[in-house]
Amino acid sequence: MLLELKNIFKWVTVGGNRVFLLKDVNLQVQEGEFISIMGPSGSGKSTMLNVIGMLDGFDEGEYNFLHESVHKLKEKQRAQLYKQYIGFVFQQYHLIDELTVYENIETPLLYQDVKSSERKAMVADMLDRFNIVGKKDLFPAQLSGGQQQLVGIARALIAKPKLILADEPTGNLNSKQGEEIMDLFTQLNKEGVTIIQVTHSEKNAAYAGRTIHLLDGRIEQQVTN
Amino acid sequence: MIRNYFKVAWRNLWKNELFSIINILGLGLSIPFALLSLMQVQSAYEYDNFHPYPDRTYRIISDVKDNVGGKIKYALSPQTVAEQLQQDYPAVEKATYVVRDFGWELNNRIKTLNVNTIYIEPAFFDVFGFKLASGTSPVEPNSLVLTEEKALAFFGTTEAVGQVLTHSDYGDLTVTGVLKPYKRNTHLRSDVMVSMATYKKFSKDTVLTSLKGFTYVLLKPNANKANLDVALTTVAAKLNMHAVAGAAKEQLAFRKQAITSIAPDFEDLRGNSYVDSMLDLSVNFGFALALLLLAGFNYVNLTLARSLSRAKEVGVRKVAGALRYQLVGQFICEAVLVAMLSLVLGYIVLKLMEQFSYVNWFTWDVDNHYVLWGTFIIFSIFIGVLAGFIPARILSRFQPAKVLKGTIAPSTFGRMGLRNSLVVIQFVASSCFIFVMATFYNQFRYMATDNDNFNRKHIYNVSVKGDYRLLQQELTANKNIEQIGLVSTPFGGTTAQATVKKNKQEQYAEASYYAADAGFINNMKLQFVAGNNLPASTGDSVSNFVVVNEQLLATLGLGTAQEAVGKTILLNNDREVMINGVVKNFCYYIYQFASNPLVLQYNPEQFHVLSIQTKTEVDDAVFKSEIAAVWKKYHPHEELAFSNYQKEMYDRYFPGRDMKFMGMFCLVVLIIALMGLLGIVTYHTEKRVKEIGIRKVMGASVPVIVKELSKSFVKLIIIAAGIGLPVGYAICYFFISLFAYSPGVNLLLLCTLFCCIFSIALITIAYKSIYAAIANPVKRLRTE
Repeated sequence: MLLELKNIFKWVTVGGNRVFLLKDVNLQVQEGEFISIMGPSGSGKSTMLNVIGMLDGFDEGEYNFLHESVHKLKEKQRAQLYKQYIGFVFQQYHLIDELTVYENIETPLLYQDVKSSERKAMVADMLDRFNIVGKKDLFPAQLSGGQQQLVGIARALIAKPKLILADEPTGNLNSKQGEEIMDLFTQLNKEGVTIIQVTHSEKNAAYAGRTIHLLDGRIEQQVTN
Repeated sequence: MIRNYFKVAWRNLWKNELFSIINILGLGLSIPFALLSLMQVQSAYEYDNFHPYPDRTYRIISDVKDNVGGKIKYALSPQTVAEQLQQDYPAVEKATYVVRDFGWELNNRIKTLNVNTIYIEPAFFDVFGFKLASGTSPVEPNSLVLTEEKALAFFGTTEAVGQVLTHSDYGDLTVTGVLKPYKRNTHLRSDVMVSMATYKKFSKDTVLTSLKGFTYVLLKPNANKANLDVALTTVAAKLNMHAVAGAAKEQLAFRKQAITSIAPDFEDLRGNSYVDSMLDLSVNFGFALALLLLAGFNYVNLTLARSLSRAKEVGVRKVAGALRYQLVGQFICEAVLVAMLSLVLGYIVLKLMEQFSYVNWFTWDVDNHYVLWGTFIIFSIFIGVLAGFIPARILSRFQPAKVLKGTIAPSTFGRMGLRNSLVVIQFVASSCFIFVMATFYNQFRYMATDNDNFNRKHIYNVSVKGDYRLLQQELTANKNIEQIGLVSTPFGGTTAQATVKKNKQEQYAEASYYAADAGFINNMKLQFVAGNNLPASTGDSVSNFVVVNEQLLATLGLGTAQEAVGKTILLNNDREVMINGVVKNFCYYIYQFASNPLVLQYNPEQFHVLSIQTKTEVDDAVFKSEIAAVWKKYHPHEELAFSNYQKEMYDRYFPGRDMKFMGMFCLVVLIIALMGLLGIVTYHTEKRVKEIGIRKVMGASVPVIVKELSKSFVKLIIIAAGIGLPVGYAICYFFISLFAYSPGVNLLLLCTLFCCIFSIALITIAYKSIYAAIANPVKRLRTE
């Protein structure tokens, strides 16, 4: 098992009342799975993704990731854990504007103390694989949305993570670009990378092996495709 | 990793040109002042490093303990110490005594120059690294050596051996040698070195323990240094024994001080001339740091203002696995890069400053440039780290989950309070600086142009020697000349001293003494409160009438001015003179000090200067040639020494270069504050582009928007005014109270200056706001 959420609660207090963002969420994810999270706006999709990605905490419950109890770890150890095993893909790509394509992809490696020569080889591989060698010296502003997202995914994959978390990865793309990205995810999943994506689109959700429907912070139903 | 940091930093600099320019320019303009004061510190450590035996040359310094437990440290020591050490202690190879004297003026018949003077013994040249270019060291009484520079100034040549210079008190002094140029950074800095025999001839001080000069000891090469300590203790004990017999209350103790550790002075020794004390250096450095701090505020302010745009980057990097300290490192790297670029700019500015506003009491160069550059670079890194630290800590705190989701609103970046107070501090500081400088300027201008204390207008001074009567008579015929007065030395220079007593039984008091005639007193337009001017006289004998100032009456207790007229006082303990008139107290010497008792007496023997008042404005050159023509008849072999009093006083009192330097300092402070304001206003208007667009679409007019945009900044400036004006006034008041004679703090000037600063700030705000307000809203909204 890759990760397990047990009775996760997360809330904010507004005017003395607790407003639940996540309510008693239980989830088990096996290695190699491809999962879609769906639900209306405000149902807690992104919150759940952030909790899984360890970017956000929770108030109650247990979270085990590869036999580590995440809720018991200190921030530094958590960072150590997610930078090694998790890659993030965002709807708004979130590339660093001041860095070139090459440097953007290289960034996670810098924070993992990978040697310079090794870094070069890894980034070159990745550029090759995504067919963007010719664009390596361009800045994000010079790329189309689809290309930027491609760079975003390349960056997420560079450190060879076990898990990719994607928050509406195709939300800002046209349908053709979206399809390409989804095909890429399918491909990656076949190679053994676990993927959890948040999406609004039924069509994109169908690429996954399992779809989780959230409503008001609780898991309403799980559908195996 | 570091390379990546600098790469991002570099690209960020280019992406935000305006902010980068503000930061680099601000730091770059303030860094030169810090560099200059770093140079002062380094040069203080490079003092006296050219002497031949640095490891075994010592200066003997004294601790004087009084009988109530107080201890005063002097750089000076009694003359006998050197003599005893030389005689009685075999470990001592050479001991020599040096006395510094102040206020020397030497005259070569044509011109009089101020010279910096020390008395030396022959052994001086064996102990120290000073070398003679020609001639021999001065041994006989009334002999001296001088620097090439002064030789050129006096004689137009460096071949000055055998020439004669005259001192007003000590008579003619023969030049026996000319010094090779030497490094300026020595505490023995001097223009002339006079033989110790001269000092002994004229010195009246015979007290054995009086601290008159500096003792230097050169130990034998292998001598044990502890022996010197023992010797010093013995010498001190002997002297103290002697002193007890003489009923002195103080105990002396001596210490050795290596020649290389004389500067900088950490102990604040008394009588330690030409050695920078650590305190002064620190104060200097403090000013420079304050300026840097103001520039640093801009950096902090602008970086924080831009934090929103950097937040995403922080989020992405954190998601990529960056730890907080790595992000702090990155932001500090950026600040260091800015500081480094500023260093480059600052160095250029420093060189320009050296060119255009050379202030000679600063050292502009040092011996070891590697150390200097090392210090500069370390200092810049330090500045960078300092400026980068606060923004780095705040920026690196962002939670990726929040910033990446875009849920973080500008208001959550808080810190408006911090940023606003930085802007206020900058404006308060810059207005205070400017106020103080303006007040000083005012004071200096007053001292340079003042005619209230004594009249300088239309006065020309001609130096005379010997018989001046015929010259005076013939000059009187000149149609331009109103009146010719006679005086020993004009007001505003050094004064002669005399003692005054009420009568034989009373204690005497020191008074300033001028030999003057009635014409001179008229020329100076002194104000009489009682009695009359000196009686007109052309006789050759000293008159028994004197004119005194009110202070003399107060000091001697002679009652009111009216009562005092007609009373007699005892002058110099031998002559009874009658007070013929009393003048108001006025400043005839130094503006800092309240006036001393003053005596003006007709004393033809001491007349050295003709004080010529012209009827109207005359052309200096023409007038001089007229006078010179007459002068030639009586003094065919001597040059006329002639000066325009008004100009001379202006040159003496107006520190043009210093004012220029301080003015530059003020300007930099103001520029920094304005740039900071400009940056902040720019940022805020840019952030509100969308809001402005919407408001315009809804029908808001340009003035309304300008008002809306500038409201908060104008408020800040008003707060700054509320603090700056009173604080500035208080500081100015303090400084001006150091001068006994001053025009006071000019409140109107301060208000005018403040209005200027205020309006420049307003223009800055208005410019940016109007620029934003008149832009086409549709264009703005489309880009959103």
